[in-house]
Amino acid sequence: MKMPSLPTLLTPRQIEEIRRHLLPLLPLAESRWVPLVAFVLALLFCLPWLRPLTPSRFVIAAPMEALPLHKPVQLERHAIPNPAASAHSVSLANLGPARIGAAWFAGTKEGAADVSIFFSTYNGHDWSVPQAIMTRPKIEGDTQRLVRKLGNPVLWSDGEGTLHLWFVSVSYGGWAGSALNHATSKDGGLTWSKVRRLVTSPFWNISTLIRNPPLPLTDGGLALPVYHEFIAKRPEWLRLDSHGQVDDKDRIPAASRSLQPAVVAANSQQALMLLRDASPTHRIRLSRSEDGGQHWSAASTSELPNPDAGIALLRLADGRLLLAYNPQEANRTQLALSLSRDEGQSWSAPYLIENGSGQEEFSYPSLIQDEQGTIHLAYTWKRERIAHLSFHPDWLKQLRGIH
Amino acid sequence: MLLAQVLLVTAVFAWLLPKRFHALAAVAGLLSLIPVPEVSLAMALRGLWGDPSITTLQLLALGLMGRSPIAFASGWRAPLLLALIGTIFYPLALGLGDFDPYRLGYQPWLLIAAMALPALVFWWRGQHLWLWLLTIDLLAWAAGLPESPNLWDTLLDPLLVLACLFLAARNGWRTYKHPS
Repeated sequence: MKMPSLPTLLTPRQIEEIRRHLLPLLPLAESRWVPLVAFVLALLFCLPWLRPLTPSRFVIAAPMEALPLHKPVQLERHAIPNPAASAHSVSLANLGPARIGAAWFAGTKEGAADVSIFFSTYNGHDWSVPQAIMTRPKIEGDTQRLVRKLGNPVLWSDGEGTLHLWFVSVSYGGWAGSALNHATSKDGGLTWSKVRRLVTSPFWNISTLIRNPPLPLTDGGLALPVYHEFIAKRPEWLRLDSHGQVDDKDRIPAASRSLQPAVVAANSQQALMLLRDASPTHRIRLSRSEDGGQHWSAASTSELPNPDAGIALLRLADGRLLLAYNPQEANRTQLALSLSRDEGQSWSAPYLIENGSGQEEFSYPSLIQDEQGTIHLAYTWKRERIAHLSFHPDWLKQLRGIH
Repeated sequence: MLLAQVLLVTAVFAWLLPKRFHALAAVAGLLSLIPVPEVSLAMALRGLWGDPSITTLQLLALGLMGRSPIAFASGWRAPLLLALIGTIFYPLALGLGDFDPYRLGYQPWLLIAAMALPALVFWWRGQHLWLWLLTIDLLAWAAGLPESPNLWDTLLDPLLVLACLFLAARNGWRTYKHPS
């Protein structure tokens, strides 16, 4: 029985015309060997792109000497000016001596159509007037697709003059439908490159999100801690080449219902990953790698409480680990710092930076240590603005329980 | 690759419209590029499902040229094979378990090796369509044409798997009701 074929745009006459022109080639095309030879040639054509990945190794910064007390030891509090009613998800990056940058999303409310990613710089005294560096129209124009909302910027400087920005965007649905985007700036954040979409998922490229900064690799690439939300929340690990192209992707084992990985390297091969916990356990989870991030241990549970909220992890210049988190099982009313000297096996008692009440929220911290040694903490302040604290490492002496 | 969305829109209209109006399908495809007011239909569709795979584009192009492969137009085995691969692949890639088969597509030694064996079988059986589809897929991937560097996205996409599920069911039912 003759079955209906798919519709055609060409008339039989046009098809016949095409066939007539191709007629001299038909014997070749109908030869039994031509498809096989073409396939083998295609395989050969692929060979240059099939080089095995080199083992990944983390770049380790040289240890910093004891810092001069050029800044007061006490905590300094600043507010980053916010141009909109709501602000969330700040990310800090070093921009050079005594200069840092911050990126966050702001608009009417999280997920609103008017949300843009804003950028501001701090010169050691004041924050600059924030500029909208990523807006929906720009992203739509650059990526040639509809964008309904954007969020979670991650700012990172490679120390060689390039500032990277990753962020998520959603075309349809909620945050679980996010895709990753990447842009760079060569002038400290004044102007930005065209936004490029990273393809990290086969199902319409949905559900890869980011919250914390990458680790640089010795081959010029980056290791990017990301996470997946659709169907199941899972932390993932992307390896990018020196052009920012995805080279590899791994899934952290036994880490279902955890997300927003925050990673620090101990040396060129060992790294610690802490995870926000979305399970009823309400404890920060952790995983370790012994081979440059190529394999990760099954996620285990720490003693640190977590109310399903973002965390920030920083290796200080003196080698200690500094963690910013909400030390609660529910609510985000408290924000605290803890220190570890033993690669995250034990932590000091939480030192409360914020201690709110009711529905007040202090969350989504970001930590960096600038080139002069000053530590900076920024976080969402009641969803209204971004708060910024800076302090000398000696200020951390008041964190109790650290040996 | 907004043009890939144009091809999709054209194919859908050509499928819906009577044969004498098929020229309108091409017009509809071109109209999908016009921004209304800032975002075109092609951009909206690209935001929804991204770029179709090179396999899908090849099959659409063949269909629009009136050269739909019999294996897909009236056969059920070929669409069933792709549908089965997709129904196993996508749930695993979306987080069902710790194994992510999508990872194999970034450094696709294994994936290509796994493709070579069935390709030889297809060639031996004279099923050249598969060989040509795979050949063009590999060439497009190596040339860096797709936005995604992952070979899986060149070979497959969810729309293709959905279409194959439909074709396998429809053509299988017709074959069962009217065996040749």
